[in-house]
Amino acid sequence: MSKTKISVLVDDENLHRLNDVVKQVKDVGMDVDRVLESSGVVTGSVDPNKLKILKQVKGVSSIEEEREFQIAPPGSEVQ
Amino acid sequence: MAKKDGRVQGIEEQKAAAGRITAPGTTGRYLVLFKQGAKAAGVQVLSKKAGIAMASSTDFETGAALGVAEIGGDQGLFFETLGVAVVDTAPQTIQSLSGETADDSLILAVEPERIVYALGNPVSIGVVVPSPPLQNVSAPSTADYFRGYRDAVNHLVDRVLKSGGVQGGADEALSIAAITEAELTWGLQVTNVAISKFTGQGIRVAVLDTGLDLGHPDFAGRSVVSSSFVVGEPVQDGHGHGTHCIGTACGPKRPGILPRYGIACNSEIYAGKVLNNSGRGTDGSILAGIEWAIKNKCDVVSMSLGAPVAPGQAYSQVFEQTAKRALTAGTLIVAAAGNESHRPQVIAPVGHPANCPSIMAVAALDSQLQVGYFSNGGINPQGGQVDIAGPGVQVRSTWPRPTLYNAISGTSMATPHVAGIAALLAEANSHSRGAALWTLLVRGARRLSISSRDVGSGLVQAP
Repeated sequence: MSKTKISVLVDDENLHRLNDVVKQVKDVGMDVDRVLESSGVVTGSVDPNKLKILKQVKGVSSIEEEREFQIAPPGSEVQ
Repeated sequence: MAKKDGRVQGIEEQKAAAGRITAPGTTGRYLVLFKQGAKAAGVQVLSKKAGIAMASSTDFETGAALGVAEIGGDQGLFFETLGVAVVDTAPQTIQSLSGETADDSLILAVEPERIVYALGNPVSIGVVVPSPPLQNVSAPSTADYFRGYRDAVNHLVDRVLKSGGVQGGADEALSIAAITEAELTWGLQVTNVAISKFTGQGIRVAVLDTGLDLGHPDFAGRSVVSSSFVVGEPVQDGHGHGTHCIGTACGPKRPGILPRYGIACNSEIYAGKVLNNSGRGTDGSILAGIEWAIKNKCDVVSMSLGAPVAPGQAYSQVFEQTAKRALTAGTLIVAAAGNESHRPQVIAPVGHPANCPSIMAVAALDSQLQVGYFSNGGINPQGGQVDIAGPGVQVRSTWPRPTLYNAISGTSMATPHVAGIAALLAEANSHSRGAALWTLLVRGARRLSISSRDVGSGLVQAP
C-alpha cells in the first residue's frame, strides 16, 4: 500500500520532548521528512494502516492528510 | 436626597421642580472626569470652588447604585475607582468648571449626563439617534414616543444635509471616480500608503509563494534572504505570482517605471519558495516555509495561496496551532481568502489555511471599493471568517523579466497589501507584534458599508 503524506501536530504539553515524539512516530513506521520545531509539527508519510496507532503516540494531537495547493497559470486574469 | 410625598423623585422630576431646562436625552446632571492620581484634589475643587457637597461611592453600604438616584441639588457622588463624579449643579457652575480643564488641571473633562436605553427596543437597535424630546416626565404613549422619535430624526437629517455634511454615501467619498495611476497604483491610494511616513524599516516580511525574480531591477540593493522548500527547484521565480506579491508587499518607493506599487519599501525581504514554478505546493512545503519565517524572526508572513474547502468543513488543527504558536513568537500570518467565488450567484467559503482563526484572512476589493466577484466569503460557522480586505482587482506590480510589470487580480493581490501595511504598523509600534499587530490592523481598517462576512473589518489603512 502506498504511503499517505501527513502532517503530525504535537500538543503544547509535549513540545519540550519533541525529539522523543519524533523517535516514537518513526518507530511506528512514519517516514519523517521534516521536524518543524517552532511550529511543533512533523511532516512525512506513513502507511494508512498505521494511522490509528500513530494517533495514540503520546504527544500526537492531530494528524492531517497533506493538502495540495494550485494557483492559476501565469497568464490568468485572476490569481 | 430629593424626596416628595415620601418617594424619591426621579431626575427629570427634580429638574422640572427646580425649573431647570434640560437638553433632550440628558438628565441635567454632569459627569466630571478627574486626572489619574489627582482625584482627592479634584474632589476638593468641586466642594470648595463649586460648593457641591460631595459623597463618595464608598459611603454607601450597598454600593453606589442607591446613591446616584439620590443626588439632589448641588450634590455630587464620586466613584472612587473610576475617578468620575456625577454632580448636580447649575449650568453656570459647570461653565466655570469646564474652564478649569487646562493642560495641567485636575479636571480632564466635563460632560452632560446622558440617558441611555436598553437595546432590544426595536427602535433603538443599531441606530444612534437623539432621544425624542420629552414633553413631560410621565411616560408618553407609545405612539407619542414614535412620533417624537421621528421628529428628532427628521430634524437631525435636515440639519446634516443643510450643512452639506453628507455627499452621497460615505464609501463613495472614499473611492476614486476615475482611476489615474500616473504616480501611485489605485491600491496605494485608497490605503493611504503614500502619505504614510513609515517604510517598514527594520521589519522582516516573509512572502511564501513561487519565489522571486532575484535579478529584477526594482529589487536591486534591497536586503533579500531567500530559501526554496520545493524539492528540485531554486528560489528564482519561474511563474510570476511570487514576484508580483513581493512587489506589492515590499516594492521600492521609486520604481524603475512609475507608478509606485509597493508598500514596505525599506523592509527586509524574506522570499520563501513553497510553490513550484507551475504554482503547485503542499501543506509540507508551506509549513516548512512558515517554520523558516518564525526561526528567522519574521514579523509578518504573507501567503497568497489556498486550497478550496467545502461549506461546513472544519479548519486545519495543524495550521491553526502553528499559527497560534507563530503569533506567540511574534509572527503574524496573513493569507488569501481564496478566489473560488462567482458573485453574486456563488459565494464560496474562505479556503485553507486562511480559514484558521489565528490566520488573518484577506478579501479583495476593486477600485470602487466593491468586493471582487471571485472573493470568498465567511460562510462557514467554525472559523472561516474574512478578517480584513485589501485592493485585489487590477493590481499592478512586478513580474519576472523581461516583462517587468503586470496587472492581475485576486485575493492573492489583496494579501500582500495587508502584509506590507502590517510592516508599516510594526515599524510604527515597536512593541506590537503577533496578536497585538493583528489588533492594530483591524482597528485601523476603514469600515465599509459591506457585510463583514465579505470584508471583515474593512479596507486596510496605512499608519
